[in-house]
Amino acid sequence: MAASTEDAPTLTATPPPIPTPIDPIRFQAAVFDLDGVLTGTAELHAAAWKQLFDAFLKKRAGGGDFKPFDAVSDYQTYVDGRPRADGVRTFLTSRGITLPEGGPGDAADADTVQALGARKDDYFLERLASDGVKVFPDALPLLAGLRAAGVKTALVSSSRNAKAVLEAGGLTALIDIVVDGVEGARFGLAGKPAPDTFGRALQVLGVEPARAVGFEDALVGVEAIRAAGYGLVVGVDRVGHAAALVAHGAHVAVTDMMTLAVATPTAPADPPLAAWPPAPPTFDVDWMVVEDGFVLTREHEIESMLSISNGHLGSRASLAEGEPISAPATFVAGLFDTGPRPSPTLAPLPNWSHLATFIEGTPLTLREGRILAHRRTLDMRQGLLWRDWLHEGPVGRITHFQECRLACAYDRRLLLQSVALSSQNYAGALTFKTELGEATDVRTTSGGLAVVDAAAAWATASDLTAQPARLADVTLHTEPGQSHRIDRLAAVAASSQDGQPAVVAAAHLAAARAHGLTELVARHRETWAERWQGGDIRVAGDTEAQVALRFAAYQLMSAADPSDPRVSIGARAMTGVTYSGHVFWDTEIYMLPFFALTWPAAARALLMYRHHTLPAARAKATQHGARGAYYAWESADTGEDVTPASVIGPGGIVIEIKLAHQEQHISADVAFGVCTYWQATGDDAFMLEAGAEIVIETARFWASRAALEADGKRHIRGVTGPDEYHTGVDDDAYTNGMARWNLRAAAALVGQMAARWPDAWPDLRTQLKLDDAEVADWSAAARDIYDGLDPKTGLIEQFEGYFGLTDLPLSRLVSRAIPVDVLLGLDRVVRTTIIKQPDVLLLIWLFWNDYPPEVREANFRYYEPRCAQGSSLSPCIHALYAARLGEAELARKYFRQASEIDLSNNRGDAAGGIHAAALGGLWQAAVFGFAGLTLGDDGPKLDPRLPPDWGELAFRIRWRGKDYDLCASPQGSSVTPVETAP
Amino acid sequence: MTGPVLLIQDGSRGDAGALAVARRLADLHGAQLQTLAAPGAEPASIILEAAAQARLIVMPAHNEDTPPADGVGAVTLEVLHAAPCAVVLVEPTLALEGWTLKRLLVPHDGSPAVSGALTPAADLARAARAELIVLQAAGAEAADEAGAIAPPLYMDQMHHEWPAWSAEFLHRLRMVCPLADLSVRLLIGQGAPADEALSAARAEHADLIALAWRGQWGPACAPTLKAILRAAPCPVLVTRRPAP
Repeated sequence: MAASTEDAPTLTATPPPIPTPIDPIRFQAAVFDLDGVLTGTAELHAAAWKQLFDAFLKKRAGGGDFKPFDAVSDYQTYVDGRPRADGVRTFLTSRGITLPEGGPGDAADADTVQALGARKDDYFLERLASDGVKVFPDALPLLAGLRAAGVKTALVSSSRNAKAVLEAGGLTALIDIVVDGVEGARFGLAGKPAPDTFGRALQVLGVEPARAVGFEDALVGVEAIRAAGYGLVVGVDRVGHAAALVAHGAHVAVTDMMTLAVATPTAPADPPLAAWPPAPPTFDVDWMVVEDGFVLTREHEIESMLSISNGHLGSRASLAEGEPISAPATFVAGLFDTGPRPSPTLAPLPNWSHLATFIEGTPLTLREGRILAHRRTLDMRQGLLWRDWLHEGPVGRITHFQECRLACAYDRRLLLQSVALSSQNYAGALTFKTELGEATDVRTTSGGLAVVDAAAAWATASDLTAQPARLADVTLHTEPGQSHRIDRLAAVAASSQDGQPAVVAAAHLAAARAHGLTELVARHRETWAERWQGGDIRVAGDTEAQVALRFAAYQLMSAADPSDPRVSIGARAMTGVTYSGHVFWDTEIYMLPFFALTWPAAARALLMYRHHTLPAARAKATQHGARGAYYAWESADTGEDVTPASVIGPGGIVIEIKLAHQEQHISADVAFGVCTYWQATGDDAFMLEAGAEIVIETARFWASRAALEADGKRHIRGVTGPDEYHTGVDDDAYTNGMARWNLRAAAALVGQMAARWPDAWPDLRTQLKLDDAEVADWSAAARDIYDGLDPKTGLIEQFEGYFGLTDLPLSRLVSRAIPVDVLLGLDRVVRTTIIKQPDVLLLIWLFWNDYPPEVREANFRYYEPRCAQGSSLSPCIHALYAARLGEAELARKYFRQASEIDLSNNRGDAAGGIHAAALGGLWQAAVFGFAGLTLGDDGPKLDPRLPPDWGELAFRIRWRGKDYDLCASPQGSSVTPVETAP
Repeated sequence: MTGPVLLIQDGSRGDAGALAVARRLADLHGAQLQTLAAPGAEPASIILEAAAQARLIVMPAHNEDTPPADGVGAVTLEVLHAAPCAVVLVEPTLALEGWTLKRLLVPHDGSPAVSGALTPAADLARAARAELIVLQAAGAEAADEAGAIAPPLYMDQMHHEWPAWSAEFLHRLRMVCPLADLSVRLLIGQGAPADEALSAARAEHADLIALAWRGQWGPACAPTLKAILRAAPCPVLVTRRPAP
């Protein structure tokens, strides 16, 4: 509701712009105030306040005269838009009255601020029940239109009754999230005009402020939205105070919100096509992954390596013309299908980029004729995939085919393809055909729905006037030297995010056509430029390492979507079908540090996936006779364990897969990720909302899992650690170590919560049915968990009985070209000390400062020679560890091995997608290993151990809300706080 | 290729086995069986002249009482060098009466060139409705040909990686060699290629081993082919591997 115009901030008085419809591509979220914007509860509130204050003032006057509360002026001036207690204080102060604050337990008729506030609430609810709520006529259609266009909606209100009002007004289903007075108090958010509540809404939605529009009628509310940095602040003028709204910070003021309603999708006039290329290509080799020529059998791994993705959509770099050698695949995050497979797999979408070209009826294909030149380039700097192909057909017709593709980073529902094709020496008919000619539904077995809608425009380069077409079958005439342009847009919406995917896809497609490809490409490039500001890592003196590290950062940033808290990043991200999109422990241990330190919003969304899947983790714990939360070894959309039960392995033998029941360390890994993020960001609201619950429930799992035995120690038996050559072991060092940490972290967290969140913590504690005895048991369990450390040697035994196994030196093996379990057979390997990947060493790395230098060294000397590097997660940890020990050559060897996993692939194992976790590990090897980054209360520090030929290693991190530029070089290191623009 | 199956008979004890194999192969192809007996002087030239239109040559690997060091006799080697088609070599000591083709073993180094040489083997397997067992030996040096696929270096989660890698291997094979409608199984051997091939041939009861040969036979050349010819428990189909 509108407040006084007094004390208006001194903003430049410019005429408000003419309102224009909200662009669903530009804006991802719309955030609304309640009273005076969506609903007209002002009268109810004003009446309730008047009932309260008049009774209070009358009693205080002792039967004498008193000045009643004015339901218009006093209401607007002193209480509207403010938290209830603030309203009590502010009004009473205006009357020269000061009351004790009181508390929640005050008697109902007490004269305290809290008691008066409670009475007002009672009066309001009585009136709400009896009188109902008035919904402004423009609210419903606006909300419905925004939702239909895929714009997220939120409500921000100081009222503790906001949800009740929404329900009474029938608006609940149209609002994604609510930040009300209850939540404001819970998280200690300052009321309007502070930006806290509006900022909180965007944090939960995972939307950048610049991509949000806020609606407010109160002046303090407008100020709050403006202070939160929203891209568009809309003042809602219900009482004729438009000028004041603008003066207080509204970009635009409207009397009817439908003025801003999303335009109904129509067939817009497509802007002229841009001349080729749609963006200036990158020529700096440090930013490029280049594939020259064409090797028939390598296509699958090329498709993986050069994939494009925006975290919501991922698309392999398959040849546009469509070939039997290709495995095109486009996925939407979180949309799984059971299909013919035994476990859910990412549902494949139609091949949106398919574009077959026929020259006088003859297909343009790499398989016939002569390839004169063929280059594909992943332009990592701009998130663009380029193709440049000069081809001579069977009868000598030479064609130049150029293509640019992108998964739009600006609007994650869009995929764009731009093609330039020219005849070099012939005249004739050019025909284009595509598999995706019109909107196509993809329905999953679990009821999910994705809709892919597409549009195309073509033109001849001499006249770039767009000729809109569905491109199902377009034929045009060409002449020697003549060029033609084709731009294609595909919009994808899925039921996992959008209530009406077909409507959302159509709205985004229409908006994208109106924008035109040139503008969208420009915004896409700007978005990537912003991402690289935080995510870039620069190496001087080693181009291969530079490209490898940028490739790692590119793939990781491509895989994340901070606006979707219900998805995580699978083992191969969305670059291929291998692993079916399943999420593993390595998301938290290998990938999350990159996000926590460079893109916290993405890290938060990844962890919210774990919160959303907590019920499934609780159910799994119960199924295993344990308490708390036992996360799935492999999870998809629901969090249920989707690990296949068996596989037909090498030799055709059916192998039972027990990892779903044995790799229990994942529960602690998830909790570790939570605390990694919390330490990096200080995001207390996340901990209160989700993180604490995860840490506590996983600790509960370990307390029930680690059994106290006769030796006075707690043992965890029958598990498998990261070294999966030895399964079903007792007291795996990594598992026990992580469990110990988890228990300690939870016990410490309970203490912190009670101290820092005295208001909110009791509710959560009650909800979790947590008592002091249980917390004490965690501490005792952590203390008593068996650690396998031999104090004489400093060695940690990987599991009980490990040191008694046959010590078979890896150097004796004839070949180490394949995993040792395949080479020797798992039944032989299990009887040796050969390990697949770091177990003890990973544990020591994660808790580096908990182990003295001699223990770190002794264990590396012991385990490193026994590690067969049978996992792609192995070389990066060895590189990191070796670097921290000062073993430069060894570190370099392992770093190179890690960097070649995808980029130098010739083994076919990247054909089904890139190794996302190994890429996260590569980044960690550089940052924590070579640069020697440590983080603490006094900020980041470097202790560089660079490879000899590296002149410099530089990167930026965000630590506890502040950006730092870090640079390691042989001459020393620097840590420079980044000055933020005022 | 639509010509006859050419059977070489030299009067040695290997004739019976070669005849059994040739008859069956001719039946499978629906081809005429043409027999060339006792070629006489300059036998290789006569054989090669007779084989000009043949789709397949079947002949004893040698006519010695004990196998030569490299597993083949001089005439056979000459034929191998210049044969216009694939050659099936039959070790004379093998008992092959009633020979049929149910399982065909293909040692493979992962290179497109080897895949490209396997069309005759695939044709035979298709005609016989035999299972094609492709064996990649881990001990083999990785083929340096572009597009070759080596055994997987990492096996993060076997239940995902192995099916994926196997599918990729077979995909690459299919891209070069038509395998449609064939039952194909992939094995990885753990040791040297020849040892693994011989071991797999015995374990899988292979009826025929198909090998792609580079065409060089010097002392340091074709060690796998030579070792397999010396000890194969079944006939060996030798095809020429195209240059990469």
